[in-house]
Parts: sequence; C-alpha cells; structure tokens
Amino acid sequence: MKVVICEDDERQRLLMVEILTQHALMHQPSIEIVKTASSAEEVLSFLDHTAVDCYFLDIELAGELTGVQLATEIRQRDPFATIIFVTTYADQLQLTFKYKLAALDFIVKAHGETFLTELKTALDAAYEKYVQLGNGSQKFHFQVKMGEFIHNIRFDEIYYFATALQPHKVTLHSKNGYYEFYGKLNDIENLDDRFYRCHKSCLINLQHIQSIDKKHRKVTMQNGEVCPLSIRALATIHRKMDYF
Amino acid sequence: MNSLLITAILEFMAIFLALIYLLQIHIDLKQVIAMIVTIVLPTILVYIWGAEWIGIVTLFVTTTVVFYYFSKKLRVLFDVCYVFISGILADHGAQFVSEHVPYRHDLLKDISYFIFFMIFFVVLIYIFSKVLDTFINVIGISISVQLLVFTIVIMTIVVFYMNSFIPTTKDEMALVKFNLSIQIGYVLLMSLVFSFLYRTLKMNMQVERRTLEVEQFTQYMQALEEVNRDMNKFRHDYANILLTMQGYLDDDDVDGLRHYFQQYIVKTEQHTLFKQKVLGNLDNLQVVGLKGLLATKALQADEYEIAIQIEIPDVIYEIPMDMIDLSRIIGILMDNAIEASKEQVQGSIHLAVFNSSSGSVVLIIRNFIGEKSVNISQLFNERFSTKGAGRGMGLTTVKQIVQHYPNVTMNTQIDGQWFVQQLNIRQEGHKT
Repeated sequence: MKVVICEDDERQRLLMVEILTQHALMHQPSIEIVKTASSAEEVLSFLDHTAVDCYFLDIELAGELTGVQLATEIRQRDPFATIIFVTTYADQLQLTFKYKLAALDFIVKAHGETFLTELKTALDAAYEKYVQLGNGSQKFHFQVKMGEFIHNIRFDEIYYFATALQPHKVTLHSKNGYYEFYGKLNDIENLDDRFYRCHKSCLINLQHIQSIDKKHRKVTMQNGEVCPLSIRALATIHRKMDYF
Repeated sequence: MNSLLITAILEFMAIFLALIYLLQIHIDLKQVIAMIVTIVLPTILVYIWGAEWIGIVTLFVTTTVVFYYFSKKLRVLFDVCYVFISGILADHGAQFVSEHVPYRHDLLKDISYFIFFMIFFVVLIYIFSKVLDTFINVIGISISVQLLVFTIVIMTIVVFYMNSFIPTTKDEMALVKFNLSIQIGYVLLMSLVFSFLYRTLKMNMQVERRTLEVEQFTQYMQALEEVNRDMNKFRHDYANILLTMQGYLDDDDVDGLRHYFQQYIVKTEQHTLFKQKVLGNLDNLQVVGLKGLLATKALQADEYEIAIQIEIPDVIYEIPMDMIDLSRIIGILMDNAIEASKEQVQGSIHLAVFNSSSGSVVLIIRNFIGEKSVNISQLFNERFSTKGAGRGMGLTTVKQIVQHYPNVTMNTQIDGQWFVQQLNIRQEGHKT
C-alpha cells in the first residue's frame, strides 16, 4: 500500500513519518511511504506519475490549497483512495469531511499517546480497506451511494431487500442499518447465491431466515421482520435453503 | 273548503310561530295584525285568483320581508327557507303516515294528519335551531360561504316545490325538461361547492406554510437576540472584569487571577461564544424556515449540556421538499437525537447539510451512542420506543413522509459508536 503524508510543519511531519514507518515495519511490511510533502501542489505533481492508495493530509496547509481542497482534488482523480485528515482543531467540519469527501478518519493533533494511537489505528483501517479492495472483496459487499459517500454493506449482514412504495426505490434492511437507494430488485437479483427472490417485492438472504409460515405464506427473518412468499417460492424455498 | 281553511290557518300559524321561535322576536297585537294584513291576506287573495305557485311565492316573499322588518337579521332568508323546507317535509311525512293508517272516518284522518304534521314540524325546527346555534357559535362564516349556503337552500326549496307540483302535469316532455334542469342545477351547484372547498383548502395550506415560516424565523431571531444579550452583558461587565483582574495583578496574586479567569470568565463566556458560533454556522443556510428550527434545537440541546456541532459548508439556497414535511422530519430526528443524548454521559450531536457533487442536498444527523446496542428493525416499528409507550411514532412518521417523495432517500445506520441518519434530497427530475 502506497502512502503519502502531507504536512507543512516539519516536526509534525517527521513525527508522523516515524510513527507510521515503525508501525508498518512491525505489522504490515507491504506499507510504503512513497512521498512526504509540505504542500498540496507537491502532492498533486507527484500524483501525475504515481498512483497512491492512502493519504494523511493536514487540513491547515500553508499554501494556496488547503488540505480539504487537496482532498477534493484527490477524490476526483481516485474515488477509492483512502483519505485521513489530520488537524489542529477539534471543531472542524468532521461530518462533512467524512460524508462529502468520504474521508476515512479525522485525527486531532495532540501531545501524547492518543494522537499516536489514532494514527496507527487509522493506518490499520486503511490497510484493511486496501486489502479488501485488492481481494476484490467488494464482491461480498453491497454498495449504497449517498452523494459521494459509499456505504459498503457486507452480504452476510443483509437481511433482505424490498421494493419501496415509490417506484424505482429499493430498501435494504441490514443488521446495522436501513438504507434506501434507486434501482430495481431485478437488477440485484443475481448478486449472490444466498439471495433469493421469495416474492416480487422481496429479495431475502437465505442465511437469515428465522421461520417459514406456509399457511400464511410468510417468511420471518432473524431480525423479526416478515416478508411475503409467492406461490412459486413456497415450493422451492426449502430446497434453496438446504444450501445454507 | 272547511278543512282547506283550517289547513291554511294551521300552516300560517306553524310558519309564523316557527319563525318567531327561531328569530327570538317578541310580538304584540300590532305585529300580529301587521302579519295578517301584509302576509296572510295577499297570499290568500293571490291564491284564489292567481295560480297556486304564485300564492306560494307571494307567501315566501312577504314572510321574508315582514320578518326581516321585525328582526332586522339577515338570517331571516335562511330561516324562512328552512321553515318552508320543514313544512314540505312535515306535510309529506304526515300525509304518508295518515294514508297508511286505515281510519274509518275522514275527520279522524284529518286530525291524525294535523297531529303528525305538528310533531314532524316541531322536531325539525327544534333540531335546526340547535344545529344552527352550535354552527354559528363555533365558526365565523365568511360572506362567500353564507352566499353559497343561501344558494343551496333556495335551490333546495325550489326543487322541493317543483317536485311537489310538477307531477300534476302529465306531459312527459315537461317532466324530462324538469328533471334535466334539476340535474344541471345540481351539477353546477356541486362544482361551485367543490371549487369553494378546493380554494379554501389551498388557502389554508398556504397560510399554514407561511405561519410555519414566520414562526421559524421568529425563533431564529429570538435565538440571535438571546446570544446578543449575552454578548452585551459581557461587554457591560467588561470594565468590572478588568478592574478585578487589575486587583489580582496589583497583589501579584497569580493563582487567584488564574482561578478567577477560569471560574468566572472562561466558563460563562465559553458558553456564550459557543452559542454564537452555533448560530453563526447557520449563516450558510438560506432556507429561512429551517434556520429557526435548527437554532431552537441547537440551543435546546445546549441546555441539556449536549455538545452540538452544526456544519453547513456550502450555501444552501433551496431544499426541494415541502417546508412543512422537511421541518417535521428534521424536528423529529433532532428530538430523537437530543432524547438519546440525554441518557449519555457525554452526549454529542453532529449535524451537517451540504451539496453533493451530483447536485443533491445531503443532510446528516448523528448522535453518540457509545457501546449501546440499537435494534434497527425495531426503530421503525410504530409501537416501539426505547423510551416507553407513545414515543415511537417519530421515525414511523419520518418514513411515511419520505415515502411520498420520489426524490428523497433515507438511510439509518449504526456507524461505530454513532447513530447516523442521512437524507439525500435530489433536485427534482434529476434521475440516475
């Protein structure tokens, strides 16, 4: 994983490089800091010839571009890059950074252990994401886009998909969330073997079936929610379930 | 002839008494004579020498005029109409009942008719007076609606009377024409009523929306004023603060100074500055209706010592949703967040509104929940609430509102230690 650090304060920069290099050496030797820069322009010209996976950006950069502007630029070039902000001020636009620029983390500079630990944790998280991307494990994730932000929802956490009241809207019910997105059930029907179209309005995860009520043609999921069963599905659902 | 005379006298009396009761007028002998001269005599004369229907019209017009003169109330027209309608209904009802009872003697039949007529008539008039009283007391009726009601009543009277007289003419074509005119009349009337109803409802909606906006703006102004007052107070105390600090410095009491500074200045002013900052963050929100709501909710959260942070990095001119719906959604989400944060030791709420590059407006509200587990599927359950019965309606309402918008999607999720609500509002007609 290629990492770039952009920080205009030299002491801070050296500290970050040291911490991250050490941590990488000990845990993930494949992490490599390919560039340390003190200005946004430096980073951008570096990007012209090298692809980078992960960025640690200081928000308060001296120079024409701030860290946020740099991040916006990076995001446009690479929607999958991991961006981690580092800042002096705690009351920055945290939510905006996270959801608009899809920043992975937001670390407040401070003296002492907390800052260092947060740096390491962020690096670990970035690496994990990098590995997932490399393994093509997004195959096992469903993505819901919300503006720039992408929710990656693991297949095994999804209970079911259902059509919404409004046409072209689909709802996703998972362990940790409820999501709505634009689309059709037909388009996601073949996402994975574990998903089964039990009704024209429902696509359920066969892993998470709690019980089947044949008489009322209903399926109760493990979270207690109920999906309808079509007559056709009534005949085949048991056979399908045997695989899970 | 005899019985016709009695019927006439009875009906006159019934009409007059009903009107006297309804209009609550006191009459003396002079007025009784006036009634006989101006109403009864002309009507009978016209009835005998003219046609039947002219007699009725004469009765209607003279009664209205004379009773208006007595009472000086405009509702006379309305009351007269109703008395006439009641008369017709009571007459028909009494006839119906009397015909179905096999009396041997004609006189018995007549007496039973009179009795039933009186009963029906009195009951109808009584009901009417009660209904009208509550009706008038509860709502002030506008002139246009009054006119409409009059039109309906007169129309009804005309139809009733025509209905009573037409069947005597056996001409089929006349009957068809008559029916057609009634039907057309009613269609026109109904369209009028519906257009009135539509206009009224539309106006009500506009008024409601405007009221909400004004209300919200007032709240925002109040919040601003509050902060302004705090700032002024600080400025007012400024001289005193400096003097006190001077005192500490004169005594070389650095510890005392530090204590004073921490305890009296930082603590109180931090709060004021914080409030000012939160409100300042709303500057970019050009949707007036929302400003007040967010300001109020922010100050409310602050009162409960919940750390609240509002981020609006882009100027937001418009959010393509109905203001009332949007306020309700944000109100509920903020209330939920505040409610949940109260239980936390370190309650914290973040709110962000920004434009995404795809042109939609994204609204995010999140509150800190720590390690507490939340069952997402239960949240939208009407009966469910983490705070006991009757509180769980919020999210169900939000979901119902969102369902009506093709351009709005909502996400609810647990993200680490945060409970996050996201609304994505696309510009209308923008489809991916």
